Amino acid sequence: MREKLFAPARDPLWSALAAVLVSLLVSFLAIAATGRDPLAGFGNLAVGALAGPGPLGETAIKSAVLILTGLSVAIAFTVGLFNIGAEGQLIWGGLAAAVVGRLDSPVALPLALAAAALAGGGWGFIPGILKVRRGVHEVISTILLNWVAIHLVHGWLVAGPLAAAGGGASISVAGTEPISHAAWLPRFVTGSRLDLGFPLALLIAAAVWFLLTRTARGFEWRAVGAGAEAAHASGIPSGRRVCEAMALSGALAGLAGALLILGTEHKYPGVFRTGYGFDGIAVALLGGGTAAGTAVAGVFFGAIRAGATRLQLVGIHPSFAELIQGIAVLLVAAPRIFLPLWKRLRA
Amino acid sequence: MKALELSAIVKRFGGLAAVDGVSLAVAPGEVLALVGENGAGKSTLISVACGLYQADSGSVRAFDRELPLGDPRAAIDAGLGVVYQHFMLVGPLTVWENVVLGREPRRFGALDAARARREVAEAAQRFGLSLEVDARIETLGVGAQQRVEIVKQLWRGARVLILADPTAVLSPREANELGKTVRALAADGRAVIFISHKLREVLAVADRIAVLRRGKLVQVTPRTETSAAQLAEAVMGRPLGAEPDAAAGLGVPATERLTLGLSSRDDHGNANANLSLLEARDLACLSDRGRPGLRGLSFDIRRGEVLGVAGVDGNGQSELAEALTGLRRATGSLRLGGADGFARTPASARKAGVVHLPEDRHRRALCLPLSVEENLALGRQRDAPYARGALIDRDGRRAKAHELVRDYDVRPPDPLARAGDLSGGNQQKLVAARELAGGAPPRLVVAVQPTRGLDLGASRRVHDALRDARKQGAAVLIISLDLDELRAVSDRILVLFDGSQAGIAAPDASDEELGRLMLGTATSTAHA
Repeated sequence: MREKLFAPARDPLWSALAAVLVSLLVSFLAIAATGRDPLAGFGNLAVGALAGPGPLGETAIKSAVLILTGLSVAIAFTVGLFNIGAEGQLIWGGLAAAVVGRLDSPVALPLALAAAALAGGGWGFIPGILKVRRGVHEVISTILLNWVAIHLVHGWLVAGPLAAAGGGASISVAGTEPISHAAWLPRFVTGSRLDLGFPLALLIAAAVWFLLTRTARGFEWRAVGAGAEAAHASGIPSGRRVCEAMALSGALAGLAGALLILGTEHKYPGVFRTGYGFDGIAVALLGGGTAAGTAVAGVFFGAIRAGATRLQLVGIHPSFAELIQGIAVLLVAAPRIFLPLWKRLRA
Repeated sequence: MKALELSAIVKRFGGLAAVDGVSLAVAPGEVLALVGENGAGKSTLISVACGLYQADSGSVRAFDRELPLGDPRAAIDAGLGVVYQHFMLVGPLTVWENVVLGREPRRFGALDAARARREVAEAAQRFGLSLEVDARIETLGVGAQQRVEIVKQLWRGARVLILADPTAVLSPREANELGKTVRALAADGRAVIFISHKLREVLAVADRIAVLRRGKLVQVTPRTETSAAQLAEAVMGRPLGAEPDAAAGLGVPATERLTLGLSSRDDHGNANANLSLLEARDLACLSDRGRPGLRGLSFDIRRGEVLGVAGVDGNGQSELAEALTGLRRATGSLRLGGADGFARTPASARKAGVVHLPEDRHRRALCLPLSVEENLALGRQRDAPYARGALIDRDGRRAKAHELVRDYDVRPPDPLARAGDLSGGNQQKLVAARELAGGAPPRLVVAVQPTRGLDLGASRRVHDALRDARKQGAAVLIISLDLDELRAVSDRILVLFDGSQAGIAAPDASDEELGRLMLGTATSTAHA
């Protein structure tokens, strides 16, 4: 099924656009069916996502994280692997950023970002090497590693050795010590939380595009994903390529965690279940597995996430945004699963 | 009464008749062998008999009752049991569990394990099939797994047993044992249909032997009234000893081969003439099934020489190709131009100038979702003109792709077409273009069934390209099941049997001579 899901679509742009439109339409009808005013709902969604520097900043922050986790999943697709472990890689990246970010030094920010990439990359490398050396299916290992990360970090490190002094009693101050100001992602616009994260994410998307489409290394990754045996027979060290790609995949998820910590949280909080890692799967799917598509899909989902907070004003639960997201992904993924089946049944 | 009676069966695929009006019957207590080349219609006929395919016309009767066509359930209920070449067993389960799987005897709604175990043991014992019923399948060898399949059919009450190429996976000793089992089944009054490529075995086991060729029944003879030579002639459809028409099916006139022979002598006139470019000594390795694939194979190929490799499929050809291209580890020594260790990995083989036209081009040679130009760059993606440093040279790659696509007449001539959208013949031209003309001239060409499935024009193009490589001084190894092809392009023909050399033949060797070597009935006549 993985092969079907991530087979390059013949017309990824149109199928993604159609999926988005239909999902918006279905959500519109769903709001109407619950007796609320769909126009007001969508109006609030738009205001929360787009109206002015404040909302635009929220959209940008969320988009940046989603673009990075989406790219993380997309890079793993490139070598034919399904990385469900972006969540765990993001957690390690966030923790590394929170620890290194406490340095009060002019290079604290780049160091914290690098540490996050390294930590996430290391966590992503594990399922890669397990796959290559022992044939462990990456879906299994990444899911399990997510839980290992969650419990190690949340259940022990952040609550114990790394907990802020005197913070244990109150949940609001639970978490690690705050990072130094030097490690904050700089903000550009007053009245907006827009920070360096968004331009950084766009820059990384461009770099990933260049890597995958313009370099020999990227070509080798795609060859491994498109035909592992043919790539191996042509002399490409396919196992090594898989591990590299998984490490980069993890590094990007780790950076996504760093953006959250260095941009908005400014410490590793006691409770930090973001779901951004899992949403990265949706972003990459809608984006057709390409860097540009993933960036656009990341912004779309980021805007919906940002706008959803205002849905409550008309009595709609903010998780409603997930309905839009879910339907869009289903519409993109379903034809790839069911079309071949349908063709076989008719044959 | 006949156990199974097929009357005037016709089965077409597209416009092609895979089985064309075949009538055949087998009586209880009789062993009928079915022989023929690949694609002669043997397995299609069997699939019609057991209901997997619906025949276009004709009828199937079992024990005087007409079976509905295309109904596998009815065929099973009528007592037909097929043992396929690929076993359908569950590895972690035990022998008896596999046998009863899907038809478990029950007691108060629960599996009656004691009874199932006992019945399976009895079925095995009755026919002298030695089996440990409590052993897990994955711990058993191929021969034992095959016995499990046979017991499964017997336990289910099969009265007509069909064995599809059963000895292909067996060692000679196991094959011998199987022969005894088959005779025991017949003695018990069951009908057995035995499909095989190996004429010697067929003559040892069968009561009657039916020969299929191109979907038609050529002859049915009692064992006592035929011979290996007569059968081989019937299978190939050509009187032995007659000059084979090398042009048949290939578009290569026999005279062309003679010209090649002359030019090869010219090549050998120079100082390097008798130097072996490739030296293989005592190659041995295991096959995917864990059986010996090659057992001590030694041969040489000179610069500018084409060595053809003949043999019945599965006698070590794939393993040989894989050992030479770094895809399979083999013991023994392999030297290319005197240098050792070139075949350690696919990358090192490629670096040493080994190119490969593999048998399974979809899996081994092409990334189907990628474009034609990307597939042409595969393996040379870091070299000029495909790359400049670590970056893809998009213009250089496009220009080279246009050139290769034009020279090898790949259609459509579009470097951006998806490789998976090309026809099989054009895919093979794509592979040949990349391997033979995509970079530096090759030193060793390993081509496996290079023209299988290709039309005349494409075959000719591929053969021309192989000749060019040879003219440029490469050593060329061609593995093919098509003897005409081997005779047309080879300077010498190495015949493989059971992973070692059965002999070396001249390119004008007769079918009979090659056939005897291929079937392992002759001792080797010459050495490399």
